[in-house]
Amino acid sequence: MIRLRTRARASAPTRESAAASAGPGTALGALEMGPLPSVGRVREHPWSRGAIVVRVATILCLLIGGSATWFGGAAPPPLLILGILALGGIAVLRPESPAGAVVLLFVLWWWTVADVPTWQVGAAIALPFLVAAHVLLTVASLTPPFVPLDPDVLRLWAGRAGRLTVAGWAVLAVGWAASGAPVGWTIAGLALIASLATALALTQAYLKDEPAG
Amino acid sequence: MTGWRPTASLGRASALGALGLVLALAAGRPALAAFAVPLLLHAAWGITGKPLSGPRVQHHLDHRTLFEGQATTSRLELSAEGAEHVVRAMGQAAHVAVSPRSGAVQALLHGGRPRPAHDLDTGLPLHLGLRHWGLATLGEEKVAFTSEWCGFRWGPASLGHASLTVLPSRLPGSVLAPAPHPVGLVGAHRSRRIGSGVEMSGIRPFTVGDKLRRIHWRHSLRTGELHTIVSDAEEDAAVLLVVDATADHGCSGGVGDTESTLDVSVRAAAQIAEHHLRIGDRVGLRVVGGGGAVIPLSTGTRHSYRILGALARTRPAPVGRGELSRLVLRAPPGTVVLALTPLLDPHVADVAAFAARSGHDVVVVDTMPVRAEPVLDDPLEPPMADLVWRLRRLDRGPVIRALRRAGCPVVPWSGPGTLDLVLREMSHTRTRRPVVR
Repeated sequence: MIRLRTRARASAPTRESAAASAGPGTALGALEMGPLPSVGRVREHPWSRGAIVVRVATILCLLIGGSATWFGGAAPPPLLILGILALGGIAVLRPESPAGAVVLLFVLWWWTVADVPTWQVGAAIALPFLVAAHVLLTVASLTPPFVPLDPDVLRLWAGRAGRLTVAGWAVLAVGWAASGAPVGWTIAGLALIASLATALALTQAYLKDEPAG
Repeated sequence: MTGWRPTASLGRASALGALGLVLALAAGRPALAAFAVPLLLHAAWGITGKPLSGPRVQHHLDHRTLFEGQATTSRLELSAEGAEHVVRAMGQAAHVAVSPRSGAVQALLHGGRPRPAHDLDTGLPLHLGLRHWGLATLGEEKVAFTSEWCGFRWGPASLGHASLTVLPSRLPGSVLAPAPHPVGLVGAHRSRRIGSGVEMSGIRPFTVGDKLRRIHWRHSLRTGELHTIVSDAEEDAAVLLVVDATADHGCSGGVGDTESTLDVSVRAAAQIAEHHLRIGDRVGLRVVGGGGAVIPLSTGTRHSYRILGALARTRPAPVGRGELSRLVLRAPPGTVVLALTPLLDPHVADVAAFAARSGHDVVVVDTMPVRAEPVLDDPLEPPMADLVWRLRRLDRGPVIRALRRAGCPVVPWSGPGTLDLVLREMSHTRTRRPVVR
């Protein structure tokens, strides 16, 4: 049966903008309105430019963090690159999934098995990139991908990433200073430092939450 | 509804931090410990930042009733102790333009409230432009909060769908022609009765009882006898709008876009009603079909909103043939009946012809858009669809001719001024019918 009787209103989507300055009850003539999309087609929100940049930067950070063993003489194998690209791709597509932890664990595993000296500059170079990858995944998980990045959010997390990196570099520096000691003792010392740093952070956080007076 | 749950970021930081330390000890790699410490710190700050209570959030619209083409703002009222970040997103809805385009906004919270970065834009505002009349249901709205260091997340929780009434635009019309046979008591239309209006109709000798201020002194001096000005009375008219909502044909786009037949009918009815109510006429509404609204003749601003509200609630829905046969307009004598119909269904044309036979002045306004295209529910070959649509349009020809034979002029709606010519002709050509009061 041929049906020409329609109710187009129920299926007509629109996602065009009104100007941000639109006051209540403002006539739309003063607003920036784009053309309506065709009736019957619901357009998905495209990813924002910021979301794409964050995701690409995450994968780049993971690649650099994994490839930094090159400074110690261990060239990253193609399997590592492919693994980072594959797992990193899943992680940035679904920042809330365990894929983010898996890809970072993959990089840590490479740093465990790579034939590099105990102390080398590559670790100091890789550290900020791995921290950045973790932080970027966190930022990506805050909002849906079609939401533009908020500069305030970026600034907040850039500062935090910087603080975390400095903490990691401090651990490296302490370890390097104690490099004359046996490796086991060095690791134990670093673990002690990590535990103390964590305890200090917890204490600070609890003290901060105490009501004034 | 929802509670604070650990985020993937917290899980990642905790697990990798612990595993990094274990690997560092097991493999003798101090660099891994350096990698693990920042993650452990992040985990520690995230865990300690868990809020103790859930946020309270409500959304509200600045306006619940708007005209199509106007905009309003949806705001959040929130209180989220311990939360650091909030994001709200609104789903897509038909004929609702949202700013920002993504339909989502985010903000950092300071003390559980949005940071006052923009003085007037607190409450995470989403600006909404309503582009089509009707009862607009906005897209589903969701909101999510994140605690400090992205340790825990509350939501995304649904806030439901808000709805508001969008009245059809009532652009001021410019119907210059008078109503054919006004029968009211006061108003702006020139009556055929003699009265105390401002429109001069003649001069006659002065008689006892005439007002002195109406004496025409120039003529009196010339003739030597007192003469007085005779003027027409001014009366209001009664206009009954009959809107055909038995079906909706064509593509409905929104303000400034393509219009369906019901769009044209509703907007035309709103404009005509607005015009006549502004000049003091009594206007009634009868919706044939969806909703079946019946608004009796009345006047005033409140009545205007009553009619616009009824038009906004109009939905295309067929009516049974029996119901149409029982359709009685209940229009008092002298009422101008304006039937707005695309004439694809002859039933409303029957109602118009019946009203004309009953002695009313009836004008049928053809609300079929010139470039109306059918939107097909079922997949159909375009040539076949075009053929069927052309046949449907050709079917209108006999109906229009029959209406004209029945004394109902048919005019296609072309915006303000559409009715000028036909109403003026009706005023001049028809003899006045006796009115019994």
